[in-house]
Amino acid sequence: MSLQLALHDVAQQRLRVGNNFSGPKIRHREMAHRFSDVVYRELTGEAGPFDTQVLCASPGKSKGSKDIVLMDYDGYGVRPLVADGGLNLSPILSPNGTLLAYTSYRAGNPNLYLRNLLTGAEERLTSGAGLAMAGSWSPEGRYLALNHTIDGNSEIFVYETKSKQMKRITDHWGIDATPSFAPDGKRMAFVSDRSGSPQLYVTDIQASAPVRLTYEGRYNTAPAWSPRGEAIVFVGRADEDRSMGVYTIRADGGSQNRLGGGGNPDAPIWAPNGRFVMYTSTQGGSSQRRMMREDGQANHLLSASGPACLTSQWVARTAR
Amino acid sequence: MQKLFLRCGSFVVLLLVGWCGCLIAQTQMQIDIEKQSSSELPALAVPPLLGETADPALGQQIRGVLQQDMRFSGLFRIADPATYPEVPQTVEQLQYASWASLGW
Repeated sequence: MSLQLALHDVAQQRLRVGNNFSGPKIRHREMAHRFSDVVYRELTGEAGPFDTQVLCASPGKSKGSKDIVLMDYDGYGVRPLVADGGLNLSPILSPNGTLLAYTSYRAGNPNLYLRNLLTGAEERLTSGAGLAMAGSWSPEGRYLALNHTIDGNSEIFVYETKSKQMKRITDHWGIDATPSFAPDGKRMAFVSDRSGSPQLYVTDIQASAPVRLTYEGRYNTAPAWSPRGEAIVFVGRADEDRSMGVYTIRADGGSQNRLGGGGNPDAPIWAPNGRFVMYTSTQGGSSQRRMMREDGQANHLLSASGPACLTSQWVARTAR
Repeated sequence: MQKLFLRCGSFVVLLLVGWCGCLIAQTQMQIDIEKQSSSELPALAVPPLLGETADPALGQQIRGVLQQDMRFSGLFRIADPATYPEVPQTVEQLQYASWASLGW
């Protein structure tokens, strides 16, 4: 199939941008998404969010199982990455798209695995009964931040891929979880209940003393650091009416802003261009994916298609 | 750029875009995503593909993806197809003026 797409500017009475695509008909959605990004770049000067994919753990064929899948941001083109009939969770893909970190119960415990998607080689990064979950990769792919429960308490660790060394970042009786790297590859945001309630903190790969970020509300969790700057998106609960919402806050603790709410929002993640946020919400009953602009505008339901699943990462399209 | 549209057996989508009447005199449409407010969104039309009759279902799906993406971008108001003027059958027939007078 050959497809030609063009954007005409009526006010200027001219063709703004046109592209030719050719390929099998089955890839027509991908061609359209690519042109959507061309239009977005033409008009904003920035990379678009549409020719992208998300990772999630989706209900598998056997009862209680979950597969790791990669699908278009809008839920089409579902591609299984790990489908072994077991329970697999929380996939996070390295920046170059080759190393998949995920949690699997296949050895009996919720251990963290690292699979090379090119070679199929796989290693287990944690052992024991404690839950281990990948949080995020540093932008250059050198470090994987994770939380691991040892001696009954969850702590933050960083795994360095080259040396294969695991470095402990937090050491506190509170629960420390869901680390998310800053674009500088050094700082990371995480959630801890060390103050008595779940709040956001910032530390770094040197394991510096964590600095508390959030003070509004007694429940703030699930931080994700924007790939393009100092904004951190998270889920919080307002003290007044106990309503849950998606918020952003600057890494220095300033400019806290409620983007949206309704239902039980969970797991906000950034588009690769850092201009959009995707999250799951129970607004309207069942769990559904939504996306919105970074300022909370243009909030739209996404899960009209594709499996209902908690998306853990939003990435540029890998492997065409 | 005209040759873009002259291949046979292929589709062409015209995403037609224009500012609302009051802003039509603007010289260069460039969207500042930091400053944009919903009251001044440019309108966007996604008319049927040229050559779509060869495979109407596929054409409709392609338009659906484009329309969805553009709506999710928050950068546009998607114009109601009922307000479209006559859709050109070739690019040469495209009359910018008729799309500009939609009153969006």
